[in-house]
Amino acid sequence: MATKVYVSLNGVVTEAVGTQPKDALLFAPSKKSAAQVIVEQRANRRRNSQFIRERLEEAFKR
Amino acid sequence: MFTKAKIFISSVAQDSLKQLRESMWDILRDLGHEPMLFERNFGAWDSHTNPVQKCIECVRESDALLLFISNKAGTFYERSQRTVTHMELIEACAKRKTVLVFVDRMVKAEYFAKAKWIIEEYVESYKAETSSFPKASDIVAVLSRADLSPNVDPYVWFFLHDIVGRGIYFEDLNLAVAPDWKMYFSDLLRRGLQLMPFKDAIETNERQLDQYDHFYDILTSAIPSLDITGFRNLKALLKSFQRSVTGDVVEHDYGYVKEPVGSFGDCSAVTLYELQEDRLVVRGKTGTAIGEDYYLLDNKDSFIALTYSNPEPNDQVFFKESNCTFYYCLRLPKHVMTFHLPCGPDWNTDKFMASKDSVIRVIIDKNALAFDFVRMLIGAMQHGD
Repeated sequence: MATKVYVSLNGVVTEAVGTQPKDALLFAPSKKSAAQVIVEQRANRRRNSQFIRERLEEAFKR
Repeated sequence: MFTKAKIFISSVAQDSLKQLRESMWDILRDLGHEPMLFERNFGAWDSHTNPVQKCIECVRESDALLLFISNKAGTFYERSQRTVTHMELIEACAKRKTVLVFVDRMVKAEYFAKAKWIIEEYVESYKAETSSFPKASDIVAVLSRADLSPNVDPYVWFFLHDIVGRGIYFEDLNLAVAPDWKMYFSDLLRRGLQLMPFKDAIETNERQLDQYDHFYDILTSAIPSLDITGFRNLKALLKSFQRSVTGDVVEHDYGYVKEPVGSFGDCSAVTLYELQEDRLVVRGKTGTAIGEDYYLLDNKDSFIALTYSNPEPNDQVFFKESNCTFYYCLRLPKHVMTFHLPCGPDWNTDKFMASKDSVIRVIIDKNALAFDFVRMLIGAMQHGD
C-alpha cells in the first residue's frame, strides 16, 4: 500500500494533495526500517548462497 | 560419465501446441539432452500417484523448464487457485531452475496492450479497499468480463501477469515459423560456459561473505553492551558516515522492465542534533550543511524538529525542490541525524510525490548498513553522553 506524503508550509503540516510550491517541505515515512531491510537482505543472501553452493556441487559432480 | 541436461517441456495439452511439443522432444533428444514430456516418458503412473504431484516432481528433477503458452489455460484447481502448468512454473521458480518461456505473439501483444493494465487497476483498487490481494479466481472473473479476445482463456492473462511479476523474460512464439532451436540451445550453453571457470572464485567469495556476515553478528551483539561516553572527534565520525552513504538511480519496477525515473548523488552533508530541553541543538555537521544552531521542538518548518516529534518509529525522507535535495532523517532517542542526498533539478514536488516509495526504497536498500550502524552507535551513547 502506498504511503502518504505530507507537506510542511508556513508552519502547518497537512497531507500533500496536488502540486506543491517549490519551497514546500515534503516528507514521507519509510515502510521499513533499515534494520528490517538488513534482516531481509541477509536472509536473501543466505538463501542465494545455499542455492549457489548446491548448484556448483551439482554442476561439477563427476 | 556424462549427465544429460533434463529439460521439462511444459504447456497446456491443446491441439495447436501438440506438434510443437513433439518436435521439441525430438530436437532435444537429437541434441543429446533428456526431454521430459508427459505423453512420452512420464505420463504413465500407478493409480495411487496424484497426476499434479507427478508433474511437480518431474519439474523438481529437471534442470530447466521450457514453457509454451498459447490461448488455453488448462484445468484450474479451485483449492490451489492455479492451473497445473502454472504450478509447474511456480515449482521451477521456487527451485531456481532455468525457466524458458515462449508466448504466442498475438497473446503477448494483447497482454501488454490491454490485459496487464486491467489486472493492475483491479489489484490496486482491491488492495486499497481491503488491504489484501485478490484471489486468482476474482481476477479471472474480472478478466472474463473485460473487453479482451474471447478466444483467449482469461486465466492466461493472469498467468502471464505472474510471469512478468517474477521478472521472467518471455520470447515470441510463432507457431508458423519455428525458432532455430539448435542455435537457441547453443546460446544457452555459451552462457553457462562463461561462468564455469569462476567456480573457485565464487566459492572464495561465498566464504568471505560468510565471514562478513558473522562479523556483523558480533558487532550487533557487542555494541549494545557498550556505554559510549562521548565523541573524541565528532567531525571525523560524521565525515566517515557521509562517505559511507551513497547515491543511486531511482527506478520504477514494472516487473518486466524497470524504468529509471531519476537519480540522486552521494551524501553531501551529515548533521547531528541533540535534544536539550525544548530544542534540538547542533552537535556537529559536515559537508554542505548550513542548518541553524538549534530548532525548537515545535518548529514545523524544520525537518530536524519534525523528525524528532514524529511518533512513528520508522525513518523519514524529506524533499525540498528549491534545495534539490533529499534528506534521510534518523530519529534516535536523544538525537536526530540527517543525511543530505543531492538530486538534479529534474526532481520537482510532483515527481517526488509520484515516486516517493521508490526513492525511499532505493535510499534504504543501498545504505541500510550505514543507517543501522549509526543507530547502534549513537544508541550506545544514550546513557553516558
